[in-house]
Amino acid sequence: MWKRLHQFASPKFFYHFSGHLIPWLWGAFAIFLIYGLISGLLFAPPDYQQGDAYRIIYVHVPAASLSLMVFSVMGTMSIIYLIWRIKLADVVATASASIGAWFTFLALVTGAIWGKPMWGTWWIWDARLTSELILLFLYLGVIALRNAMKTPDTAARAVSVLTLVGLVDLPIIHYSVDWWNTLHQKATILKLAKPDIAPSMLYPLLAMMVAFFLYYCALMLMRVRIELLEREKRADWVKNILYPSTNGIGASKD
Amino acid sequence: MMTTSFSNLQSFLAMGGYGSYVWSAYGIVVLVGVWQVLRQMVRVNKMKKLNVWNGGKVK
Repeated sequence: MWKRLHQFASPKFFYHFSGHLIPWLWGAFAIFLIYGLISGLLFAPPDYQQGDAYRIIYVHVPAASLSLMVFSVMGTMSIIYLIWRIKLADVVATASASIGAWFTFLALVTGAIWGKPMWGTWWIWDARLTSELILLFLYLGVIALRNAMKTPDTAARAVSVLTLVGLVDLPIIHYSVDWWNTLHQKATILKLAKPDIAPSMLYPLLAMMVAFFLYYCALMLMRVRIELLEREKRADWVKNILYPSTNGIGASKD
Repeated sequence: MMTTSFSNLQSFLAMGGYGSYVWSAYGIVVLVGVWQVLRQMVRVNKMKKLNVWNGGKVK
C-alpha cells in the first residue's frame, strides 16, 4: 500500500494518472450539475417564506462549503509538505489556493445577492459574513505570499505555515451561527440526524454540492498538471510531452 | 409524473419577482466557472506553443 502511495507522489505518475481521471470527473460533474439545476430550479417547490429567492441556495451553499473544504485540503497538504517534504503536496496546495479564493468570492457575492431581498441589505458585519470575508483575505494572503518569494522551497514552507494558522478560521466560520446572534440562518443540512430542509429541496442541493466538488477536483487537477509541467520543465518526461518531435522519443497523448 | 413549480417560461424567468437576484447569482457563478476552465486551457496551449517555438530549448 505504501508503495502505491509513493507512486502517487511521483510527478510523472501523477501527471499521467490525473490525465486519465479528468475526463471522468468532467463527465460526472455534468451529470450532477444537470440533475441539480433541473430539479433545483424547476421541480423543487418554492420556500414558504422566501418564495423562489431561496433557489440561490443551489449555488451559494455549494460555493460556501467548497470555500471551507478547499482550505482544509490546503491545510492537509501543508502538513504533508512540512512533515514529509513531498513536493506534489505543495503543488496541490498551490493549485487549490486560487480556486478556493474564487469559491469564497462566489459565496460572498451570491450571499449578498440573496441577502438583499431577504434581509434588506447587501452586507452586514455579521459573524458568519465577516469570518467568511477573513477566509477570502487568507486565500489572497497565501497567494500573495507565494508570489512574493523567489525560492520555491522557502515559499512553500512560509505558505504552509500561514495555511496552518489560517485553519483556525474554519471552525469559527462553521460555528459562528451558533456562537453569536447573527442574521445568517443556522445549519440546516449538516444536521445529518434530521436536516431542517424538505427532501425535494435537499436532493438538488446535495447534487449541486457534489457537482461543485467534482468541478474543484477536475480544475485542481488541470492546474496541478500545468504546475508540474512548469516546475519539472527540465525533466525528460516533460520534454517528451511538450516537444516530442525535437528529441524523437515520441508524443504523449496526455 | 412530476410537475414543475412554474406554469410557463415567463413565470420561470420571473422567479416570483426575484428573477433579477436569482439569475444574477447564477450568472456570476457560470461566468467565473467557465472563465476558470478557459484560463487553464489557454495556459496549456500557450505553454505548448512557447516550447515549440523555442525549439524545445528550456531556459
